[in-house]
Amino acid sequence: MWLPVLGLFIGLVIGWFTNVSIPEAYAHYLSIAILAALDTLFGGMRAHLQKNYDNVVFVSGIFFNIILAAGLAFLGVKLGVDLYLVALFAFGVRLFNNIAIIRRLFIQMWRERAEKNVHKS
Amino acid sequence: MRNHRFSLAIILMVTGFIVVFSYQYFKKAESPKSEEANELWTQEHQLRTQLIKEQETNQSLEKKLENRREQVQSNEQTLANQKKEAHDIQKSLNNYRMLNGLTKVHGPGIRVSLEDAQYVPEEDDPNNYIVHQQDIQEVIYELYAAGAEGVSLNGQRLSIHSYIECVGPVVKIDGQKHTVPFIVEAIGDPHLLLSSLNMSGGTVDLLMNRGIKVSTEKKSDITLKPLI
Repeated sequence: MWLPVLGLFIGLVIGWFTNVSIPEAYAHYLSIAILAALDTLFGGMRAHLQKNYDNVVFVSGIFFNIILAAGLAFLGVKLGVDLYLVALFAFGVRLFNNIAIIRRLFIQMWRERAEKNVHKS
Repeated sequence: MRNHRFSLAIILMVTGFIVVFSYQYFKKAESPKSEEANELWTQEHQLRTQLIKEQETNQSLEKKLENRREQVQSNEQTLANQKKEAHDIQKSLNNYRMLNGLTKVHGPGIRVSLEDAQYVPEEDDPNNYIVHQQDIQEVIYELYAAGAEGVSLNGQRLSIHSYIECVGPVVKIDGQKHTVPFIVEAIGDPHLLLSSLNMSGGTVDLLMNRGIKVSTEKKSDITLKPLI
């Protein structure tokens, strides 16, 4: 259990001590990257709960999503259209969907447990 | 299972990195802005304070200006008064000079001539029948009393310092000798001077009683030479 926590901690520390200043034009990429990472995390969580978790899909998801979103944003900047909004929108919707599914799964699990307890007693 | 944890660790690491990085990035991007705003505010405050100060200075300067103007006005008033005073002084000085015989004057006046009596009765003292120094003085005092502004005897201007002496057959005025006939000229109101001399029981009457020849006449313009 300590490995993921250690990974998070290392990530935080690296992020804290990285003192790279990026131009303001790339601020959109950062927001997209955050969303992609969160999406992947919650997607993996959902897959784990639904018992169809795949390690390769999980790991490749985050990088692929980030690259795709960044590419879209880059294209948007080049064309003068706010295409990063597309990625933002897609990630946002997926994030909410995933969280909603996770919530339902938890509720379902809680109910099943409650029923079991009732049967026991 | 171990594999899962490892990949989860990597994903968490990446997520943490991105989150913290962007957090730091936006904090950095925002702080200068707020600093700038702060600076602007400070500047504005400073300018405002300066403005208020300037306005206050203006006000006090305006008040000062007002005071100064009032001062100038009062000074001018004083100056005008002084000028007027000086003018008055000058006027009275001229007047006094005139009265003292220091300036040449001319104007209406009268002329009085005094001569010894032609006829002297045997039994009388002839001294009573000639013009004496005190007779001349009498006439002159009378003229002064009647408001004469300038008097001369035989063309010699008299002043308040003048003295008349009797020296045997002649009369000395300020050291100058004069003999009969004595002609006294006076500037002033001719009517006033004449009537005061001719008053009954007055100077002329007394002189005439002694047989002294007194003739008076009004003159429209008499010129008196200044005293040297």
